[in-house]
Amino acid sequence: MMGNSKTVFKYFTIPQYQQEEDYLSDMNEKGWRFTHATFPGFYHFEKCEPGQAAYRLDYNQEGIRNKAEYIQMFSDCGWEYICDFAGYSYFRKEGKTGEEREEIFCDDASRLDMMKRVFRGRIIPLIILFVLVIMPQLFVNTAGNSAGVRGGGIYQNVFSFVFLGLAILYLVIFSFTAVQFYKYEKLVSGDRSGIRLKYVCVFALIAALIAGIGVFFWSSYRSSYEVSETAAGYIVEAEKLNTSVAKEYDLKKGDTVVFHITELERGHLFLSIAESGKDPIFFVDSYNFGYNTFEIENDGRYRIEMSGNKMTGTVEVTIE
Amino acid sequence: MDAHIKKVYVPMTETGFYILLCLREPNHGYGIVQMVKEMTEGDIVLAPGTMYGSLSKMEKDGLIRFIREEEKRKIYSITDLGTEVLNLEMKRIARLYRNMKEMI
Repeated sequence: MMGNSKTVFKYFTIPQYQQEEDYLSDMNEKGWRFTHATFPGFYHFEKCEPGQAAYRLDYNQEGIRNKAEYIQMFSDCGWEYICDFAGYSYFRKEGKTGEEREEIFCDDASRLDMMKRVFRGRIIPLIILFVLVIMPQLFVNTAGNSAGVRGGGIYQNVFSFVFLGLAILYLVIFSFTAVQFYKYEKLVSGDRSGIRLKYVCVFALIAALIAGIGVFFWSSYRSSYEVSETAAGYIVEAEKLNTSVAKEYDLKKGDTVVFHITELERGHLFLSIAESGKDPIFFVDSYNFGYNTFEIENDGRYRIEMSGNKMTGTVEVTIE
Repeated sequence: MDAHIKKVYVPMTETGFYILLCLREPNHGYGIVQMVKEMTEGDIVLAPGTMYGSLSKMEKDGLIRFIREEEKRKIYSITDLGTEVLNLEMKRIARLYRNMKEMI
């Protein structure tokens, strides 16, 4: 029958399990009983008598491996097992959730242990992914983009935003986790200065790592080139061209613009001729080596531009 | 006793202490919960997430060992190392108690 179940999409970051617990309790109070969750964050509910119930999440991979025995322990203590989702196990206990919160952890040490398990199981893989995949991709895509390479096209733009979004999301998750960790560890252990020092060191290390990777990619994308004017045009000699170089000329009907590309080693070069303020009337890219010529049909002021993406070589522009 | 054990278990949490105290006789997690509840007249109710985590951690560190399974409940018993740690804790708490008595 319709209306007896519903699915809600809800996104909680990894360390937000307490918000998730509160959300499930709220739903229960409104008469929706949580049944299971599916990737990437669909929460399934069925209709129930509105009432108070505590929902709790545990993260214990060993528990999931020895499921029967793990669930037995919880059910002995009055907790109904609901499901597993993304490494977390969900439990439920009916009754008051008011002043005295029903808890599946009775001391801060074990609460901290759970966070450590979450950290090892979920956050460390994320950090590895972040450092090895997201950061480099972010730099590659944004660096490629800022070079103004038209040939790169729209996909590079999209990728930049996707990776930028992911990077920000990750940093938010990391900070959430770090703050939660810090709070609990401070609670559990009396030696506060030691803990603060530890966190400062870890932060410094991560910041240094990110900065290091940043500098590495930044330097590998920095342009190094020289532009020299000639009697009839200009020459760009580049060890690495990651930007665009443009010059304007007054041209007459019958003039011929010659591009001469030599020693192109790698990267990508995009050449264009456009009347000032208009779309290009001619373009060619570095896949066509050697000479390229274009004859001007109308008098006017023209912009002759080359955009490089990691291009190495020499390009000579002559007007004959 | 190596440094890791000492660092993690001395001094230990109330939960840890009661687990070792109860496991001088073989018992399962929920059995310990009930014993502690009785001993403390209902003041201390050990929670399942804490129990499960502590038991598997203690088993991994060799303070307790798994004996057998009964109706999906793992039965554990204390090891020599566990006894050693427990004795250290008992001495520490006894001193704490003695000092308290002297002061009041």
